[in-house]
Amino acid sequence: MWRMIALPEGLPTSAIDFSDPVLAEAPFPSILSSLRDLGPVVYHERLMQYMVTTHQDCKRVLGNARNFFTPKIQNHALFGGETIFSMDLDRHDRIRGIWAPRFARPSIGTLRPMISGIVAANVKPFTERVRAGESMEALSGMIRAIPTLVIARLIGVPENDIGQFSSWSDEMVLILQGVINAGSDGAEMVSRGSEATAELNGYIHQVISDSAGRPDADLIGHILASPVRNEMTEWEVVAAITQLVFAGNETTAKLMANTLYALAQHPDQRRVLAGNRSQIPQAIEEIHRWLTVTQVNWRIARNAADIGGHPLNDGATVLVMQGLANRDPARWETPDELDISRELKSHLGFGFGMHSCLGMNLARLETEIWLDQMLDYLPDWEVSEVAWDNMANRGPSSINVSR
Amino acid sequence: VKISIDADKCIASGLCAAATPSVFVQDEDGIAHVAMEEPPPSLENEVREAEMACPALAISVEE
Repeated sequence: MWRMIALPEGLPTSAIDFSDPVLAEAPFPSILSSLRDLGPVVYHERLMQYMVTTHQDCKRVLGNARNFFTPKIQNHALFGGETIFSMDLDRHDRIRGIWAPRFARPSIGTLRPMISGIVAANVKPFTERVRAGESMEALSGMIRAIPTLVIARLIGVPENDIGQFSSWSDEMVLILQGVINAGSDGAEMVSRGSEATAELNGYIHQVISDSAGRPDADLIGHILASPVRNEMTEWEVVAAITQLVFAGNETTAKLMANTLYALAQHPDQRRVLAGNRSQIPQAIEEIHRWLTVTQVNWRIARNAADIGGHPLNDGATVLVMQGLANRDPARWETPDELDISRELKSHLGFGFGMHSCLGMNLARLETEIWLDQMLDYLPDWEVSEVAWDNMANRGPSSINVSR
Repeated sequence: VKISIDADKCIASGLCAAATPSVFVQDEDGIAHVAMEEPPPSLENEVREAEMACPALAISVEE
């Protein structure tokens, strides 16, 4: 059935190309900020999607699940089945509740020794070589392994399988990149990402099948032992675990790489931080605001939703410009400047609302511990070369560090 | 105990309202508000749970 879609009247339009490498390299202040200058809602003609540009309106869209829900199709492609990412209200709360206590701050805090060990094993050899005069790529040489090893430990993956885990997780990101790529590469990227998802799903399915009598100490054992598991299909359990692997790896690594870049650009602030480690958590929040990893989020409008008084057709796709919202001058003074001493306010880096990141406390703690050790072992690092990745998961694809 | 929420820090995760629905409510935009500023001692444990659950450190509980 064809449905008539009324063209959005009176809205400013833009044809911004999210796959443009120039955009990924330097989205701020000029390219993305000019979208905000057009208005709070800008229509993307080629993607046929509504871009929301202000902090206040992005918060409203993400906070109002009754009028804006998460697209299920994209979610299935990413994880192989439905996850809490796209579940509605009651069911979301019950299933998120299985792992939620494990990701609350008090539980995450108990992981500090385990995380510190993993971080040290990666930071020490890397910084030794840099101190000896080498220029080293930090993602492959130090950062990328950290979140993978941590989530693998939490999930209960055997050490031998971790390398394969990591590469599947990397390939899965292609789905996100493909979706915002209006060019001909988009479909190809989605297809490659979907293959990686299928392989990871198959692996996890096997792990679950072999897990009779598994203790509930790790996250796989915990979900299998939960009474709520009976409300889930087998593939929903597989997808939930796939999502943990995916969510914990690429994004946290990018947050760390962005931190390397941000502090190398601001040596004065890094010096302050080195002398006052209690400021590290606040500094990471500011860096995450300034260099947001998840720049863009999606929602679908329903129940005659509107944004800032502009009515939306049910089914309209809304692009929530989280990274742009994090530089909204209506919320932060001089938003394009990094200032780790800023008063702490919530930003949209981990999303907002009921679907905000389950693992945010873990990502923060990993990044805090890692940064603390960097300031111990290599407080005066320099970034000699950096290549920026896509806008879906924004951060360096490679970042060379020297002293 | 006396409870307050910093709305500027709230990220609308809904975890406080899930932990203690009689004390915390969410508005249409998901932002949490205190429905009962001075809850009875019988609710203190649940209120502490909500405070710890908040990923945004937006809830403060005073004796």
